[in-house]
Amino acid sequence: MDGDRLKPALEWFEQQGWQPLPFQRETWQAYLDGRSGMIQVPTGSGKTYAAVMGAILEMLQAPTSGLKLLYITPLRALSRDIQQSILRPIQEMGWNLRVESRTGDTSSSQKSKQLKNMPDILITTPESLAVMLSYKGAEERFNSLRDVILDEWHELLSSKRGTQMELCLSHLRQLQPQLKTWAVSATLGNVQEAAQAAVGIGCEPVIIQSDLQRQTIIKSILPDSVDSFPWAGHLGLRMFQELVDALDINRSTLIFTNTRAQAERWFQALSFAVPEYLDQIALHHGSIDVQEREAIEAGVKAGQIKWVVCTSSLDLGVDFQPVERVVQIGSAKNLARLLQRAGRSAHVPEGTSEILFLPTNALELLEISAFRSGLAAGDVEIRRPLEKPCDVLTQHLVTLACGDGFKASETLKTIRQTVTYSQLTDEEFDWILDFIEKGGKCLGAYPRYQKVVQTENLYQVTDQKIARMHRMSIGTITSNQAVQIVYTNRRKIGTVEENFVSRLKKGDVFFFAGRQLEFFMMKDMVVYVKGTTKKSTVTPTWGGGNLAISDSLSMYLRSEIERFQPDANSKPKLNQELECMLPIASAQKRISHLPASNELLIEVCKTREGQHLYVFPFEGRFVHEGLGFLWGYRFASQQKATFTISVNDYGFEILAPKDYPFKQLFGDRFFDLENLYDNIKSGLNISELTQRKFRGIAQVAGLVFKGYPSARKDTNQLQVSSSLLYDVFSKYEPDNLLLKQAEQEVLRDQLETHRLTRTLDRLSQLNVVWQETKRPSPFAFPLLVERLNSRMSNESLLDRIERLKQQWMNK
Amino acid sequence: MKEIDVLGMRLQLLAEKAVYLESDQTLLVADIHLGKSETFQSLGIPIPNQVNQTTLDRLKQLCFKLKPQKLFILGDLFHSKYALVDEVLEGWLQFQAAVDAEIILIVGNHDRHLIKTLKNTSIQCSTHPVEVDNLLLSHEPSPQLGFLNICGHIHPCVHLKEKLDQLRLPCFYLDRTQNLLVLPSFGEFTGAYEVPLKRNSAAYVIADDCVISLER
Repeated sequence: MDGDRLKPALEWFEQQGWQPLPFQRETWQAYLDGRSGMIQVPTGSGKTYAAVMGAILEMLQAPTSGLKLLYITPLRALSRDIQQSILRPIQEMGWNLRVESRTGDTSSSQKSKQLKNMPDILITTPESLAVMLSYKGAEERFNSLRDVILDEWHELLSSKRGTQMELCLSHLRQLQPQLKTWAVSATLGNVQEAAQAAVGIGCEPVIIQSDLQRQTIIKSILPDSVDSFPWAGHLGLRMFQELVDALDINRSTLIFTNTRAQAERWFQALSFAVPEYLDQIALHHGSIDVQEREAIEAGVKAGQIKWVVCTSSLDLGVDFQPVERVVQIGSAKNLARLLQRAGRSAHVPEGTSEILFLPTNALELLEISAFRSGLAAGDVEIRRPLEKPCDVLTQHLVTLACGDGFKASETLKTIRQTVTYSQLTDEEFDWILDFIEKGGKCLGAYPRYQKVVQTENLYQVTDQKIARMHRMSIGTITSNQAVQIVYTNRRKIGTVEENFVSRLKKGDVFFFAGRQLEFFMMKDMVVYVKGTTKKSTVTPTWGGGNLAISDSLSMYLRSEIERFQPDANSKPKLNQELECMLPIASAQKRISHLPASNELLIEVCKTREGQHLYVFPFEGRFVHEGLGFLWGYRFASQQKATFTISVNDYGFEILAPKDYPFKQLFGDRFFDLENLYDNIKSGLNISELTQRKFRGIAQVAGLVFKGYPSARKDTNQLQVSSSLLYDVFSKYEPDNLLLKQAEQEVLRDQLETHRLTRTLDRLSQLNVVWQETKRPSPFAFPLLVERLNSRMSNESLLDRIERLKQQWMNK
Repeated sequence: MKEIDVLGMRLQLLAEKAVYLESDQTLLVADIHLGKSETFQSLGIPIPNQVNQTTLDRLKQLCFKLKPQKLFILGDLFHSKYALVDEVLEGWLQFQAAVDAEIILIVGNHDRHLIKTLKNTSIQCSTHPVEVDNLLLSHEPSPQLGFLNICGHIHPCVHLKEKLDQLRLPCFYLDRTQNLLVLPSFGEFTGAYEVPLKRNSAAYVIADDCVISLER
């Protein structure tokens, strides 16, 4: 009877006074029936026990020794909480099961013990799993494995760590064909694809969703008068008094910002505004020391800390039961992200999620309005797996070679069972085999190269030094150039990027992690600082790029503008935000034009700077970058000029010399899809962008070795910058698949060229409305004022140097 | 090419990353790092070995063009012990045979411990800086009163930056207060380090075929 096999779980639930929810039962039944699949339910609804209980029930029914369940989490900080959750029923029911975790934080003695004597349940990260596969004896070690759970799969799925997971899983399935896989995911738009990526090809995944209809309510904090409201600018600190008035120190609140810099500024503003609450307010982001972050999380759970200013650092993780409110400063740019954050505010599974929005500039009111429509339509972004990234596969094959070794044809079959590499060609696979065995396809170019050795079809790494170096670099998919910041007494504060640190001189003062710090000295990649009350002299920068509005949200954004069009018969129905924006919409109409949904608005405007062209597709900054450079090229190829291109989520600007005849040169061919990539590449200094992408790829593929913690003499000789590597490969191996991957990543991730094609298609069907404006319109103003991410196009190297030299001489 | 006068001497700073003293028919280069690819390869990183040949070809062309009597290599001719393998040495010996100039190597930190092996080849080595007129030629900076010290080791480059654009370019670096001229690294596969541009110093930046001076 079904009830019987679920009995132990049901007993424990009863002891807690809980009723298992339908989706939990459904998952356990599916699991015990031998199925694999994906659980997609909102945060905090009992997904951990839905995922884990099936495997535990199986262990109780048919006990054996050895590792039976692998629980994969993307963040090692989460493993503690997960371990505690899993241990609860086991300890309370007296089940004889051992649960351990294994992450970068686990001691090496603990790790060797584990390898010799695996627990029943192991909680680990994708990297740690890869390292385990790099040791010999994997077949024996995973002999009893029955289930792998992938937590936060929506997060991993479209990243290289997700790809790494797919590959590791394919190998585990090769060792254990009966292995079951269960992914746990938050909201996303492509459920079927995500589930397939988790379970591998050739398996039909069961998709479990809860009926829990959770309503999300958006409330906005609006300015009294939008006239005094900034039309542009990121921080909108002008609204902080309104924020403080809307907050309640007795209600635990998460205050989300989009960047670390913003989190720091808002925290600083709050500490000045309400210093009496300082010990109940905290700052939490990715660069703050791990221990401090854990202390903050504990403080929130215990109720001591009430307000936390944070970034996506708190998007994941075990639910903070006591969080009562969620605030989002600035647009979250993405529907799914917003839903997830709002979800942190519900007490119980069926509760209502509420999120309080604080716009930071006038046009964001439009975005908030778009969010309402998007959420009402139930639309949510898709997260796609990557397209057969060469670097991750290279690393994986070397990992297997360090372990038990692998046979080429067998492994190729296994790899093609993953969604990401299902279309891997024979040529591509051969290229990688050549790369790891011989160094590359050029015969004789790598006479001293040794890494993977082939004997009778078995590929192995025989040199132990190489194997050790490889294991050290397995975690490289996540690492970046971070420099530790500590007090002179060595107490850790957090990390900042190397770029920022390289500029610091003794005496420089900066604000970081919520405090004023004075630079004392730097030694061995560690920066020593002292607390100070002096004023800041420098501002920390973080490389983490700006978010762009998702394509789902863009669609809603365009329809919001449409709502300002008066209907023939009725007054426009506007929500709070659009009402607030009316003065701006009127200004736009007066100075320029308010585009209807079948129109593309293009403005030209003359200022002292030159001739400006403004185009408003409302498609997000990445698409606009591609479009801006594409059109820059198409203008310049008719009449040469030096342009400056600026973008934001609403449109782009091309700034040309005085009297440049934009309108005359414009035509239908600007919407042509022919030669799209070539035109963009010519207009943009794509090699500079490709070089930056190549940095990460080189690291993953093992071309860069960061060195042992206690730097040995050997590895000093391996010092090389990624730009140098890029130059060497571009010159001598232009067909290198890793270089091609870098270029593809630029086109896909940075320029979103797949969206660009769709955009051009859509734009070509609109009526183009040209407006000559006497001064910049409200839509144009943010582009004019911010001009952050622009780059020059079609200038020779010598011209560039002349220009930079002039600037430098005038300093 | 850029001509500069220091301490009464006329120096030609070449876009080919070398210094030529026309009066003495002496050519100076630094930091060639032959065998760097092989070093990386033996530690599991596949860098193509064609770099060596490209570097030597460039040096050969320069020698054919200028026909110097003497060629000084200011250190780091070979990258490491892994560089002293047949194919790398073979390339070097072919270069030596093709070029008429007298070649003197002033050893640097990378090839210092290769002295014993180097002495077995026909390469003229000097473990100490060499004086030529009022020039002091060394690998590492060793400024001395009354001399213009020409050296390598630093691999200088300049970082020009403004809000919208930035460039990193190799350069010759002249520090007038110390009478020190640092050469850019000659080798194909060598990195560079930023030098600070302060008063009484000049950077001669190499871009395409030009040498552009930067000084306030």
